[in-house]
Amino acid sequence: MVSLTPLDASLTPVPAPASKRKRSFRVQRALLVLLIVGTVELLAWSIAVPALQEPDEESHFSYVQVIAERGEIPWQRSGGSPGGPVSPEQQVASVWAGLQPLLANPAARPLWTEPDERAWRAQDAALGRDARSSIEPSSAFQNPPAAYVYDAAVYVAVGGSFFDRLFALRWANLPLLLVMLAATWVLARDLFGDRQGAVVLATAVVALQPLLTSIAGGVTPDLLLCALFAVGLALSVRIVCRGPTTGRLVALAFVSLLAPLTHGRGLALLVPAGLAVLLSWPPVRRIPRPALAAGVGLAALIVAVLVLRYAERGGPTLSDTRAFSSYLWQFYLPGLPWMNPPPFEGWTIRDVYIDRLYGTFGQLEIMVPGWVTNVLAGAGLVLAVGVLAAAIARRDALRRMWAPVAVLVAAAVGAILLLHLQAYRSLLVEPGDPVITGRYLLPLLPVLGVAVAASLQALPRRAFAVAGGGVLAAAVLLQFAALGAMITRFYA
Amino acid sequence: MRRWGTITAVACLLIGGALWVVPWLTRSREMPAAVPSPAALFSIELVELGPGRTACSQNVALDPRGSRARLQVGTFGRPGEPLRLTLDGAAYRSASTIRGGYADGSVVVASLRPPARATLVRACVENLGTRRVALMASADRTRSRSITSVEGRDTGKSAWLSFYEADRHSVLERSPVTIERIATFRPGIVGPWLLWPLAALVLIGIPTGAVWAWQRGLAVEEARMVASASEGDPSAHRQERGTAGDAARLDGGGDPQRAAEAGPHDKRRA
Repeated sequence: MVSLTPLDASLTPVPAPASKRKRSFRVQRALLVLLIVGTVELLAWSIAVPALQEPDEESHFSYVQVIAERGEIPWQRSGGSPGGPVSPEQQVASVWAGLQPLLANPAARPLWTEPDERAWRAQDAALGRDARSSIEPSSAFQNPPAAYVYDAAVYVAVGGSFFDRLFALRWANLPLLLVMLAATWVLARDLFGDRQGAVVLATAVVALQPLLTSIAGGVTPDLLLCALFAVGLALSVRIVCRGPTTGRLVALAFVSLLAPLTHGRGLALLVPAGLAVLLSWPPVRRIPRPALAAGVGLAALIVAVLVLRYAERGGPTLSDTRAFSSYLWQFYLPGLPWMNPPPFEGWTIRDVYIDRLYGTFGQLEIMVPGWVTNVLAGAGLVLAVGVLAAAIARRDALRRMWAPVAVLVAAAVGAILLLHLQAYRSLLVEPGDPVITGRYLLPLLPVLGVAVAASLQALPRRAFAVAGGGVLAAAVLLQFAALGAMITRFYA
Repeated sequence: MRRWGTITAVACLLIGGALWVVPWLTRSREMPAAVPSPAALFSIELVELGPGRTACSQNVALDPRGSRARLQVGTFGRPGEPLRLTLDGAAYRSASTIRGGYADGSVVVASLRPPARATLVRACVENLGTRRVALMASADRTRSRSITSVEGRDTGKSAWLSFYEADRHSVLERSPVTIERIATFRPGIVGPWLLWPLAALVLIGIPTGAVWAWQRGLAVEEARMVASASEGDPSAHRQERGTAGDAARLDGGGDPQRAAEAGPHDKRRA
């Protein structure tokens, strides 16, 4: 276990329990209230957004339907088209409820009268026996099945009409959202200890994130992935702070294996989980530092070669590695004169980390006003500077907390690097799609929440309270802006 | 600390609400009553109508608030021809004329008598002029269920058609209608009885809950700070217990971890 000392009003780990008395589950009232806030948001998004209007919802529903209706898992290496042929039942709902013309089409509105519903019911009732099971592969079928198996259980349990089952699947995300929020709370509490204002702020940043609640309101594997990531991060930090008990290690192994079975992006959880186990393993702590550094350097070199080989689809060669580095550089920073344009020019950190993460919803046609994302871009810069300043100002505390901080940094770097690798690899053969988008960053929201709280809590207490109040209010207003944009798009 | 944090959050929310949320709720805007066949997203198709010809679309839903029909018409570079829009449904019929002379590709509006309640109609457009016109239509995935036929022959396209309210309204004014519309194509459990409280929870519950959690967190933090600062002062211990011990017990048991969190002063649990 990495030795940690309670610190001076900064990143303070919670001391381990003095004795092994009977455990109890006690939920802080502030956490309870944030869980209720998250519940209200999920209900609002899931009910107000018409069926099949969340990203790839039609193909996710198809996947669940295959498992539930045919009793088979359609996981395959290559999928069909994004909106591959769905079941006749889904097709009838798409056409007769006006959901297909509505997709990403700002000129369209959902059909919303009672005669519309009657017309759909008549068509639905006339469908044959295979109406729910005759389904062709779609692109989602490349995803591993864990989330869809969970959804299939809900699908079977609920039954009823197409809309009954689809909305039940949306609401089945509620426990996952609550787990994610509770795990963020636990993570923040392990890091901030008695600074409960910071714990609340870190959790609220996640609970009020509009894209998270929007995605949670649709049929998707993303939310299970987010919940597993949050639990995995909380466990990893607890292990490096308090030591690896059998229960913690088993739980971490479980979520680390389940995450890649939920989505390929879940592989990134192995990075912080592996690091946490490594750092808390007593023999590792006994290795002399030079030997440890040499070992880490060698491992990093091997991983780098494998990673480059994957991204470059072979090699790695010097020219391909230079091209990959150039792509990575130009994603975050302005290009330098000797650099070639990246495969998908103009797709930068601003597009993914701000515009897609905070500014667009649904099929990307729901947008908050441009000035909001401009302000957020500025806030992102302030946050980056704030984190840096806090790290310098609290360097002594940071030095004592290096292990959990390293785990969180590894989680962020690992997940983002994996996205870039996958995006670059894909861009080499299909340069028309930048792949990497805002919702892929949602599993890292707990890290963002902790970063925001950590940067603010380096301020004097009163300044922390004022700045935190402003951040909290801004988060609520952002959620309102997103909800308002959604209501305007579909109903006004 | 708690007071400053709470005041800031409430003030920012009030300012943001006044500048942003209230104008969004109260600004008058054009309100669609129904959009049976929306404009295309990728490619525009044409449904050509020669002089005297009629194009009809079935299964067009018409809402009682829809009193302006909108079509988009191509005229092949010449002034537009007069058209007649006829809506036929069970116990409902409306016919209106669109005057000629409109520009090529323009959206034309026909006033109509709305039905008493929502109904499915057959919408027909007749070319009353002497030259051909073309209705803009969709044949990609934005094609609606209301496929247009010309003189009974299926075109495989849906001519764009939408209905708007005569007057402008705000989101707030139209909230009862919006609630009804949201309940359509939803499970039976979703109705106005659920949606009204949910709307109130969104507008009031989310900001109130977030601010409450924030001030609670600051209060707990403040109490622990006071307790740490005045070690050995019994009044500080009482204050700490009163505020910091806010964990809601779910099983009534003690929690050594929380006791440790509360600091060495809380002898009840540690």
